Amino acid sequence: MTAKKADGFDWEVSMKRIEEIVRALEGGGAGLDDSIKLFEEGTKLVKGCRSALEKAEVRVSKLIDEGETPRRVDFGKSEDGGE
Amino acid sequence: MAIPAGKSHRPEEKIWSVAELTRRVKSVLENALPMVWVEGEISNFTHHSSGHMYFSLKDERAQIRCVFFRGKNSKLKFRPEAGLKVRLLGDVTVYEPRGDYQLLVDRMIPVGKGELELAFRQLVDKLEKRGWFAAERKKQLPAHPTTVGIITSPTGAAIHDMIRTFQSRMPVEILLYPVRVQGVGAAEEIARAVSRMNEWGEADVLIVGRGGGSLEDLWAFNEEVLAEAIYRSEIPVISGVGHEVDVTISDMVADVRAVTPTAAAEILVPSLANVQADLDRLGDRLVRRIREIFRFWRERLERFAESRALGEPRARLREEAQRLDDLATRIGLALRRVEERFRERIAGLSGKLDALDPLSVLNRGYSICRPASGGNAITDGRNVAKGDLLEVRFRRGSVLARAESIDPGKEPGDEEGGEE
Repeated sequence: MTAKKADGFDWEVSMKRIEEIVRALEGGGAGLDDSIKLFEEGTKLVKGCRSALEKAEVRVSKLIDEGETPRRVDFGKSEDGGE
Repeated sequence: MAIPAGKSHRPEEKIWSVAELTRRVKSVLENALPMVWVEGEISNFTHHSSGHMYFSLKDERAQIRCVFFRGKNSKLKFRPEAGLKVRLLGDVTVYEPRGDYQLLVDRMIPVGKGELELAFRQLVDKLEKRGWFAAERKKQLPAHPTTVGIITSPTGAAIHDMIRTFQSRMPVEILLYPVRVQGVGAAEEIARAVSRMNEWGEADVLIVGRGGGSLEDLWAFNEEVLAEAIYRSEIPVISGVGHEVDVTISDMVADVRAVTPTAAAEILVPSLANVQADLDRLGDRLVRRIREIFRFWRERLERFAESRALGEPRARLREEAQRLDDLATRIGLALRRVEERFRERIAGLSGKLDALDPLSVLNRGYSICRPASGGNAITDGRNVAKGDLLEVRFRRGSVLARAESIDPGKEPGDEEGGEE
């Protein structure tokens, strides 16, 4: 998940936006063009969230507290290895 | 008969100086009473800024001054206070400048209550007064944390339980800050970890905890230094210490108390199944809504097509057709991006939009028929009388026709060929 964050994908932001879009569409008022735009954006986000769920795995890093920022070392991979 | 001056005592008697006498008293007392245990109640307690503690220990009949130096009292877990019954171990000494005798305290233990129990109650009272447990200052946990900071022992059972729990849930990145969770200095180490995690600001939420153990083992989580670090944390903190029955000060200060470390992981992150269900529900709502919007617009376009197609100039028609084509393409693209099952549900939607395009209808060989006298396109044979003049419009051109006979037809059961 956080690996995706680096590519600009943010789960929380995406989920919030999807909810926003659904509410906007349900509220009516948007024209056909805007509705389609919203729908396109929404479905893209849903797809993005799904693939994020599929790709993501639990990553555990141990922090070594030395200096300004912590150094991360791998703390054993998740047992089922993700993917 | 007169008593000679300077003869008030016998000459062989020694005359002591005050200092000499005091020193003698000191030596007698100190030799006679090496390291005694004494029990009583604390009164007149002062904790001097130097760190030393001064008080009296008293019972119904007597009292004794006591000094508890910083070097000794810093190991105390509880706070001595007036009225507290304690047992003291110490040396009796004499403070020569004032001629006081006093107890030099080496150890102090509470009477009646356990030392840790007392310390716990005292800290609870203190922090409660400061408002550190108040519900209104608890921070909300993030709904979808992506990075979870865990402060615990890297070798304990707790970290492995938590990792296992996180694996069956919404994926997160775990940053483990390894600390000792028991023993001297553990509380300080955990407290430092909490503030360091705040400085870095990488984690959305912190879990502070450890597995089960005795009250002594869990003690670090009852120390003020850790309570303060948790209180000051700007990142929300979940504490999960020991088992369900163990409630620590950390639990009370934390924003959320989890009964165990595993429960902390469960509280924080929804199960994968729930997340997928949420996503499905949102996707469903999106699709359901877009279908409603399409139905609305289709009906509008139908009315437009019916009422305006014939009268509209060709350029306008083409414009509308293009618009519909464009929309259909975009819907198709959008649908391709949705899950398979969503696509099935809206399958045919773009085809239907095609069918609405007045130009494409005419292109496919249909024609539009309306009264030659003007008016809307005819959709019902019963609206035509024998001999009426009708204008029939093709893709290109039109004819004028006369109705020779009328078949009123049957009520069409299904005008549209099924739901969209």
